[in-house]
Amino acid sequence: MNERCLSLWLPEFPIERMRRAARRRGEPPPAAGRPFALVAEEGGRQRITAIEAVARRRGIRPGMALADARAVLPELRTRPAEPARDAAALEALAHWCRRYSPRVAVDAPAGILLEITGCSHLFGGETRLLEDLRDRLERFGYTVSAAIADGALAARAWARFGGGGILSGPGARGRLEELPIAALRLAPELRTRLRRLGFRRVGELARLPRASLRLRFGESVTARLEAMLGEGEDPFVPLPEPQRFLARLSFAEPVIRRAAVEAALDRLLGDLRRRLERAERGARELRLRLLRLDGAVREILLATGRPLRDPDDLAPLFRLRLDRERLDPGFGFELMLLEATVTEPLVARQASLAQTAAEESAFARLMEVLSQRLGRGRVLRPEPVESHLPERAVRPIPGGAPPAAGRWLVTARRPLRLLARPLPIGAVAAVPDGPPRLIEIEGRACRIRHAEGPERILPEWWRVEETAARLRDYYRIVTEAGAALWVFREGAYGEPSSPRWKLHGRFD
Amino acid sequence: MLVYAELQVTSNFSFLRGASHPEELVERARDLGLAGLALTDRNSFAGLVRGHVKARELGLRFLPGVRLDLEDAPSLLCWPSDRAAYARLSTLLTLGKRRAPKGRCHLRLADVLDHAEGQLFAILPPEEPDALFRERLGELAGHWRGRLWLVLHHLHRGDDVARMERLAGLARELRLPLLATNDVHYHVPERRRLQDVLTCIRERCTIEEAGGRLFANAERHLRSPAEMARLFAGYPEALSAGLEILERCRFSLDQLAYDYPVRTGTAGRGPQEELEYRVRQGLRERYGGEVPAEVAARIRHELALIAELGYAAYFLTVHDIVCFARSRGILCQGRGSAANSAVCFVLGITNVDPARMDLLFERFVSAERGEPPDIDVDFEHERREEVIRYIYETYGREHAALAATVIRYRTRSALRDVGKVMGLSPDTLDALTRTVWGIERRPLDPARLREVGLDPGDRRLRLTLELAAELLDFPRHLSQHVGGFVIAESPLHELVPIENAAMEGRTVVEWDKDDLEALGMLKIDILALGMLSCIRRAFDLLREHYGIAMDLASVPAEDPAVYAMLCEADAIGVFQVESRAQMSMLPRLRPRCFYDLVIEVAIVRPGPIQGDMVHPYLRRRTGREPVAYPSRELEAVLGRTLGVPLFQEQAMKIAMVAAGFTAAEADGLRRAMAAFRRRGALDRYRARFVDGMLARGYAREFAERCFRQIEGFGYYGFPESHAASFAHLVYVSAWLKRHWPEVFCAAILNAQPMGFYAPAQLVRDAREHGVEVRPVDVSHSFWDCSLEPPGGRRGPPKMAVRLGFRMIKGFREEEARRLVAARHRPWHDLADLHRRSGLSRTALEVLAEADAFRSLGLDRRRALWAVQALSEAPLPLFAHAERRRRPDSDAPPVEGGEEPRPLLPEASLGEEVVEDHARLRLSLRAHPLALLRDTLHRKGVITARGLLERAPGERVTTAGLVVVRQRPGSAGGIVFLTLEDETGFANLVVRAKLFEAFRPVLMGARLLAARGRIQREGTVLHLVAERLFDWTPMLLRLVEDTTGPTPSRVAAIARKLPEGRNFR
Repeated sequence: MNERCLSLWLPEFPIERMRRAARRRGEPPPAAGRPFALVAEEGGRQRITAIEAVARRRGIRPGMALADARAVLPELRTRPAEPARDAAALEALAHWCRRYSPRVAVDAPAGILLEITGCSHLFGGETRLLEDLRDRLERFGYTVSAAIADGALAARAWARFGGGGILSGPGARGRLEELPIAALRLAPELRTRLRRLGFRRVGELARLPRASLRLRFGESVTARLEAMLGEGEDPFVPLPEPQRFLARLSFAEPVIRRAAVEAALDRLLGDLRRRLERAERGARELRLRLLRLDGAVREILLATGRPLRDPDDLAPLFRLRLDRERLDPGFGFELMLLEATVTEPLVARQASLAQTAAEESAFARLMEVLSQRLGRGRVLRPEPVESHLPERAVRPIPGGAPPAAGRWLVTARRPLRLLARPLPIGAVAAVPDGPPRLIEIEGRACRIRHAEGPERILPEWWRVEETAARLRDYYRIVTEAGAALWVFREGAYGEPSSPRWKLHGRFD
Repeated sequence: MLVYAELQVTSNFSFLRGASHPEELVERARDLGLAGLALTDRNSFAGLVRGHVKARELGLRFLPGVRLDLEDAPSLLCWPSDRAAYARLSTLLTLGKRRAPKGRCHLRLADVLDHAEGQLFAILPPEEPDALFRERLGELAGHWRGRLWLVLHHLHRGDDVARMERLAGLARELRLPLLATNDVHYHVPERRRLQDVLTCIRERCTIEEAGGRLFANAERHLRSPAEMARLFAGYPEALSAGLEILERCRFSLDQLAYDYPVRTGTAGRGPQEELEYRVRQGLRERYGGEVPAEVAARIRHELALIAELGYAAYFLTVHDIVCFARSRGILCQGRGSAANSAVCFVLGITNVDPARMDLLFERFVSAERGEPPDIDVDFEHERREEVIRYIYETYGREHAALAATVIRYRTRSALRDVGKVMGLSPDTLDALTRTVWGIERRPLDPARLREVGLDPGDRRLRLTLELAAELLDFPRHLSQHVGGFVIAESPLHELVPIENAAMEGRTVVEWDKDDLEALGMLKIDILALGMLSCIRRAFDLLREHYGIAMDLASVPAEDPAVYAMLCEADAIGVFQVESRAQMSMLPRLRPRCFYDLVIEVAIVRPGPIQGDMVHPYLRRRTGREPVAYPSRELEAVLGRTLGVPLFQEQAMKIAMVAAGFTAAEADGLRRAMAAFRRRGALDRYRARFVDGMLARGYAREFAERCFRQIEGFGYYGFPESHAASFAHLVYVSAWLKRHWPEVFCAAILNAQPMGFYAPAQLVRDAREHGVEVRPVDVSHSFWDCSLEPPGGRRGPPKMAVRLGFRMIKGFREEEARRLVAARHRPWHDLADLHRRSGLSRTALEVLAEADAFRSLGLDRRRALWAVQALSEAPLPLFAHAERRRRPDSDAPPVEGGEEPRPLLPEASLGEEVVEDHARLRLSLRAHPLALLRDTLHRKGVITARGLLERAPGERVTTAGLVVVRQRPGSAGGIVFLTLEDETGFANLVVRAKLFEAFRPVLMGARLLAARGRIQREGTVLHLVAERLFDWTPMLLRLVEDTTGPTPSRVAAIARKLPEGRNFR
C-alpha cells in the first residue's frame, strides 16, 4: 500500500511565473492579450518551450521551431525562456507547500508532490485540503490541476491525464487502468514502441503477462505499472529542509558596552562562517538584529559587493556601521541574531602564493571598506571602454564591481586627464589640416612653439547623439610659455559651417 | 603635373575587409586621374578579373597584384613583372591554399623566396616598427635588392611626421627605396560606415563592442595625386616609386593565353582533323549511307566555323567525356548554347535532331563575339560523381578544377548580418527578414515595416536598412560551382590560384564563370539530372524484363498517343511538365509535335509570364487572334512562335533586328540578363532598347513589353536550345509513362528524390493507370523497386511493381543487400530470417513497422511483438535448434515455459494506413480521406472528382491532404495549393489577402478544407478559396483513439502523414 500523495500540475507555469514576476515589479505583463511564447535555443535553432492560451488556439505547440511558428503566426511575441528562474520559483513554491505537509518534492518541470498521509485531517479532510491548496495557487495566478491518490505516480497520472480530483476506494484501480500509457512516465522511446504495438491504455498493458513485458522492455515498464496500480513500491523522496544561515547568541547578563557587542559579533560571525562553509556559500546580504531588554529591536542591514563569509572581511564592515548607527543599548541587549539573508555559491579557494591574488583581494577589500564608509555608489574607479573617442574611452564603474574585459587602446599620445568639457579656443592654422600656429585661450593669445598632428578621429556614426557630430583633428602643441596642450579642430575647412577649435586636455 | 599610381588596394574580394567593388575602385581611380591601379587583395586573385575588365573598358593601367599575409614575416605586396612571374605567383598562392582549409591560405617566407623570381615586392611595416622588423627588412633587402620597396603610410594618428621620418631613416640605412600608398579599403570615404560594419561581421561583434577593431577615421580611400603629394610632401621619391613599379610590370591578364587540352587522334591527327574524322563516323552511325543534303551542308558550315575559331579541341573534350559516360552506361545529354548543333547531334552529345529544329549555330558560336562556346552536359544524378572522377583522373588535378561561384549578399543575408551588427534583437531581425520574399532589391517599404510592428522612423532600423542596401551584392565567400569544369593544357595553377573546396577531394579555381568567360577560358558544365537516372533505370528494366533495347535517341518519335496523353494533362512524373502550372497549360496548349513541347517547356516560366506573352500566344495558337508580325524583319525572328517572343535568343535577336543593337551589345544585354542581380546592369539598356525600337517604327507598348520580358528572363530565362534538350526528356519520359507505366513507376521510384511529387502520388498515379503495385515484403522485395510476373489467372497483362526496401524510411541499403543475399531459399520463420540474414533487431523492427513480414504470416503488430523478443544479435545455431523444437517458434522461451499468444489490440484499417505512412510515406490499403469520407460527406464536403461535375461559379467545400504549396514570385502573392483525396487532386487558388488571414491554417494544416467558388478555364478547374479550415484533428479518427485528443497526439499522427512540399 502506497502513501497518500497529492500531485500538483501547473501546465502554464513558466509563462504564469513570468507574469507574476512582472506584476510584482509593477510592470505590465509580457505581451498581454497577444499570442506569446517562450523560446530557447536548441541545437542552433530557436524553439518554442512554452506558450499561452491564445497562441495555442492558433496552432502553436511547444517544441516547434520558432521559424515554423512564425510562418503560422507572424505576430507571435517571444521572450527567452528562463529555466533557471522557473526551477528556483518552483522550488520556492514547493517550500511554500510545507504548510500542508512536511514532505514535499519538486516534480519538474511543472509539478509538485506532497505526501499527505496523516496530514489531511488537519485541514478537514482530503477534499478540503485539495480545495484550499488549489484556491490559493489560483489566487497566485497559476493554472492548477491537483489530484490525490495512492502513491506519487498514481496521483501524478491522475492530475495530468485524469483531470484531477481524489482517487480512492475500490474503483480507483479501474479508473487508473483507463489512463493512457503516457501516464506511466516511461522513456519516450519505450512509449513509442508500446504505441506501435497498439497499446493505448494502462489496462491493456496490465493484462499482459509481466514476464513477456520484462523480456521486451526490461524492468521499467513492469515496475511503473506495479507502482501505479499499488502492487509495488513507489518511494517518495521529499525535498530537504531549506537552509537558513542564522547564528544566535543570548546573554545571561544584558550587554551594554560597545566592546562586548563587538566581541559577541565576532562569535556570531565565526558561527555563521562555519554554516556558510558547509554549504559552500557566501553572504551577499546580512541582517544583524539586536533585541533590547525592553523589547525594542535594533537592526543593521548590510549588502556586500561579492559573496563573503570570512569574518576578517565582514567584521570591519559591521564595525563601520556600528560607528555610524549609534546603537542605543538602553538597558542592554539580551539577544543577538545574525542571518545571511541572501547567499551565493562560494567555493573555498586555495590560497594563492602569487602576489597578484593577494593584491586583488586587498584591492577588493579596500573598495569594500571605502564603500561601507562613504556609501555604496560613491566609490568609483575608471574602466577602459574600447572607443577611439577620448572622452568615451573611459567610464567610471562602482568600486566593488568586477573588472570588465575591456582593454586600453593606445593612449600614449593622449593626456592622462581630460577637461570635463572641451574649452572653446581661438586658433590660427593652415588650411586644410595644418597645426595651429597661434591660439587664444579665454582672451589670452599664445604662440605655439612646437606642434604635432593631426590625429584624425571620426564620430561614432551609429550613435543617435552623434548624428550631427563632426570629425576631429587633434594636435599636441607646446606654447612658447611651455604649456603642453591637447587641442582639436572640430569639422574641416570648406564645410558649410566653419570649424571650431577646442582645448581638450593638458600634458602635465 | 602631378602623377600617382595607387598600388595597395583592398577590394571587397578580401572578404569582409574591403568595402568597394573592384569596378568601383577602378572607376574612381580613372576619375581621379591616377596613372594606374594595382589590386592587392589578401592572398587572393579572386577580384582581379573584374578589375581588369573594368580597367580595360576605361583605359586605365591595371596591375594584378596580391598582398601576401605570411605566417612568419611581415606582410608583403607583390606584383608580377611578366607572364612567367604571374604563373609563379599563382602557383605560390595555390600552394598556400591547397595546404590550408577552404578559404584560407597558409604561406611562409620560405615559400615566397622559392617563387620570388620576376616579382616586385613592397614590405608593409607594422604600426610600431621594432628591431625584429628592422632585422627582417635587412634580410629581405639582401634577397631582393633592386625590387623591394618599403611602404610608407600616412596614418593620421598624430605622430605621422615622426613615424614617417623613422621609416625613411631605416630605408636610407638599408639603402631601400620608399613607396607611398594609402592602404586603400574603399573608393570613397563615404564607405567608412560599411567598412565598419564589415569589420564587425568579420569579428562577430556588434558595432558598440567593436571599439579598437574599427579604424578611427575614413582616410583609407583613393586620393587624388594632389592630395597624395600634400600628405607625402617630404618624400617625392616615395610618390614616384609607384610609377616605376608600373613601368617595370608589363604583365596584363590579357596575356593569359588559354590553351585547351589537345588530345590528338589515334592516327596523329590534329584536333580539327580528328573532329572531322569523328563527325564523319557519327554521320554514318546516325544516318547510314545517306546523309540528308541539308544536314551535310549544315555540318560543313559548323565545322568551318569551329576551325576558324579553333574550338575543335573543346568539342573533342566534351565528346570524350560523353563517350566515357556512355561506355559506363551513364545516361547523359548535352544542352547549352553550342549543344544543339548538328555536330553535337552526330557526335551523340545531344539527341535533338537539328533537322527537327531550326536552331542557328551562329547564335551560339559566333565569330564576331569571340565568345567561347558553352556546352552543359546533364548526367544521371546518382552517377555524376563517376564522371567527375574520370575528369580528374584523365586530366589530372594540375589541369582540371571546378569553377568558383561567388556567394554574394542577398537582401535577407544582408539584413541579417547588418541587423546583428547594429544590435537588433532576434525578434526584430526575424520580423525584418520575413518582410522579404525571395530575391528582392527594392528598398523595404515603410508600410510593410509598420505591418510587422516595426517603426520605420527608428534610426537604428533606418541605418540597418541603408547599410544592408549598400552591402547587397558584396561577395561573401567563394563556393564551388555546381559542375563547371575548367580544363587546360598547361598547368591550371599557373593561370589562376586553386583552392580546396568544402567537399573532400575537390578543388576550385578562384574565378567564377563570368571571370573565366571574360578571359576567354572554356568551361564544361557537368550537371546532375534526376530524370536521366529515372530514364536509364527504365531502359534497364525494359531490356531485362521485356528484352527491348532502347536509348535516348531510339525512342520512337512523334507518337500521337504520347501527345494525346499530355493533352489530357496526364503528366504526373513526366519531366518538367508535371508541375501544377505546366499541367494547367497542357490542355490549353495541346501539344501535337516536338516543337510544341519545346514551347510548353519555355512558356511556363517567369520570363514569358511577366512579359505577358503567354495569353497572346495561346490566343494565336487557338485561332482567336490573328497571327501578325510587327514587321517583316521580325517575322523571321518570331515566325515559329506565332509572333510572340518566348525564348531568350529571340529577345536578343529583337534587340539586334528591331532595336539596332550590334551583336556585341546584344551579347552585353544577354550578360546583363544573366547577372540581373548586379545593380542597374539592365537599366542601362532599357532606354537604348526602347528608343531603338521607336526609331524603327515600333509601337512603344510593344517595345516596353519586349523589354519587360527581357527583364523577366533575368529572373529565369530559358533559351531555345535548353528548352529543346529538355523537351526531348519530356517526350522520352512521357513515352515511357504512356507505353510502359509499370516500368516508369518502378524507375521513377528508384530515382527518388526527384521531381514534384512524393512516392505516394507516383504510386497512386501508376495504380490508376492499371499498374499492380505490391507491398514491400521480406520474401519478395529487393533494395530497388522491381518488376514481377503478373499474378492470378486473369491478372493484368502488364508486370506488377514490387516495392523495394528503399521505400522504407530508416532501412539501409547494406541491410537490404544482406537480407537478399541470404534469401537463396525461402525463410522458414522469423527466427530463421534473423539468424540467416544476421540483421540486427533494430533493423528487423523497422521491417516489422513497414509491415514487411506478411509472407511469414505475421501482421505488423505481431511481427513487432515477435521481433522485440529477439536478442539484439542472432542466436548461434545450436541455441536456435534448441528453440526450433518448441511449437510456436516465433516466440522465444520464457522462464517457466511457453509464452502465451499475446493479447495485442487488433489494428483498424485507419491505424494500418497511418502506420504505413509512418514508415513508407504511402499506403497501398486506402487513402486516409476514404476512411473519413462518411464524416466528410455529412459535412457536405465534395471530393476532388466531384468538383469536376460542378458548374463554374458554384460555391462548394472540398477537403484533402496538403500535397504542394506553391507561391511563385510572379503571381503577386497568390498561393497555389494542391489537395489530395482518394479521388484525385483539387487545385486551390488562395489570394494574397486570404493567405494573410488564414496563414496559420494554410501553413500548419495537414488536412485542410476549403470553401470557395469553382473557376474553370477550358478543362482546367480551380477552386478559388474564400475560407480555409484546419481539420487536422479529424485525422485522430483514423486511429479511433479515445484516450483524449491532446494537441500532441494530433501532431504525432499528423507527423506520420505526408507533409506538403513547398515550392516557389
